[in-house]
Amino acid sequence: MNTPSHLHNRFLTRAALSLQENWPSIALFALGLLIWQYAVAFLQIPQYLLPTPSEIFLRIWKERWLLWSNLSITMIAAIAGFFLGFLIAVGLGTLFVFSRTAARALMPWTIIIRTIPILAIAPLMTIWLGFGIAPKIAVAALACFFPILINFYRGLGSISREIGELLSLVNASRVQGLIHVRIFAAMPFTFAALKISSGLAVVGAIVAEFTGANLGIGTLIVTAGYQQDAVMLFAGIIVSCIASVLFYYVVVAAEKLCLYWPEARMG
Amino acid sequence: MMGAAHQFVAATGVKLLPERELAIDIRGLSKTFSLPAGGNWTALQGIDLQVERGKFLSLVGPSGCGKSTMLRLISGLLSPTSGTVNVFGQSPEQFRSKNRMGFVFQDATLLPWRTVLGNVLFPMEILGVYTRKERLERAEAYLELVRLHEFRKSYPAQLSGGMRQRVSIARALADSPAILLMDEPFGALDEITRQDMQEELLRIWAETGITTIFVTHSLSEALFLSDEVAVMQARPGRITGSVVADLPRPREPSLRLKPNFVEQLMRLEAMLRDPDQQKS
Repeated sequence: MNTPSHLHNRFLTRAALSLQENWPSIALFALGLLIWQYAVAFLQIPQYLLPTPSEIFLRIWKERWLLWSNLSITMIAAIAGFFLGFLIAVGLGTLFVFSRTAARALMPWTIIIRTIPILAIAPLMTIWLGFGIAPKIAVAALACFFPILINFYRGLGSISREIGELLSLVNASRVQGLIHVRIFAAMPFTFAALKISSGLAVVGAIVAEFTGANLGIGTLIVTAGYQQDAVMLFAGIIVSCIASVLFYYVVVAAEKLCLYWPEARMG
Repeated sequence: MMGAAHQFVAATGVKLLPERELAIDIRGLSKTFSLPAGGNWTALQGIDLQVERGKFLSLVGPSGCGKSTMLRLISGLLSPTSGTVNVFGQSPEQFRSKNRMGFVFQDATLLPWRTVLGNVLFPMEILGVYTRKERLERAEAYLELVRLHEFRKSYPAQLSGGMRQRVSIARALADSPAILLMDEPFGALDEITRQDMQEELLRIWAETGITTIFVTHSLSEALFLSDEVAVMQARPGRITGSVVADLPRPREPSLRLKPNFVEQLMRLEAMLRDPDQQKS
């Protein structure tokens, strides 16, 4: 059944359907680019203030290898930080379920850590962890762990009183309750947070690069800023946006796989 | 195929016990909750109730009379403030550590990420009883019993309310509990589905011989199903009387229209309306 041509046809059908659904946004986007292009020329705005889209895309193409090599470093740090933040959040959330004392003792600290501006913590991480990938991972993890923790913990506690009674009636241990019920109940909440955190991780990694790094899209952006190279700034912004969106859709794909039962996905 | 479920029931130890044994023995039971705003709330006071093994007893009464609290005390989900609850001569917790008690909630309370079959398997998997193969056979047999076998791979969200409730009944029965506790299980169903479910429940009850406590606020439902109906009143929650249903079994749907049934129904209604005119 799943011959290559069969899959190919299905892909085309789906692409056509998606085009049918999304043509208003695509059309608006194209129109926006056109207006931008001709308004800049018509109003004679200098390039160092606002370059035209065509200039930006030409620059992206010209510098594609430079952009790609820097972007990939940033994204590796962002994804590693995302997973690190996820693991810390899941670990803490699970601990909180087993120990109310731990929850009471540690929750205020997580909130304090959350209130520290990422921009302020980034230089500190560079001092502590050097100029390599480590401070970027740390900042990315810090940026995304809090929403995951809050939602995961809330999800673990989202089971109804009756489900809790059902667990008591079958003499379920806490571990059984966690593995068979609470984790599943937490999954929709957790994925809602992971979708937010995918973007936060990229922002975290880029911000960490602002304060001291030799490589990465954040470094390119800072350098372009010093040189007042607006075209390069736009190029950096656009490619990091594209990477963020792709990362977001990877999380969405993982969500579709994990939330296999009907009515599981929220929002 | 229904015979398969029957075999499982016949194989449990409870059948070997003497004939007229008390399944549930409640004496001088009171339950008081402390309110968050301060003060106490007496949910149940001075309850005495005995249920013989294999009987079908209903608890009826207005909202807030402590019907659901009774089930939670019998199942050991709550502990009494004073008095005793015995289930086959043991405390509910003791009893539950070795035996099974089926509980059917007002809502089906299924796990949405498990299929129908997975939900029926759930208690047996957690308890770790039977082999994997036996668990599967039992789950499938009880899904036959509630006539949902062809839906075993569906998820709860894909079923109607009545079907979900039938799954939860199969789940409560699948490892042959000695006691079945049901908390307004058909309250959310439409009248026709409700009557179908009542007949189905009686069929299952007759087949399994399981001691059943059924909470409802519908008098006709209670009378149609039960050997005995205990009437409760609120503030404080107490049993003010009971009626032994003088009706033949098996109960046919047409029974609901017979003069005998209607006469007993009116007697129950009078007891519920006027608690002073007690006892039958």
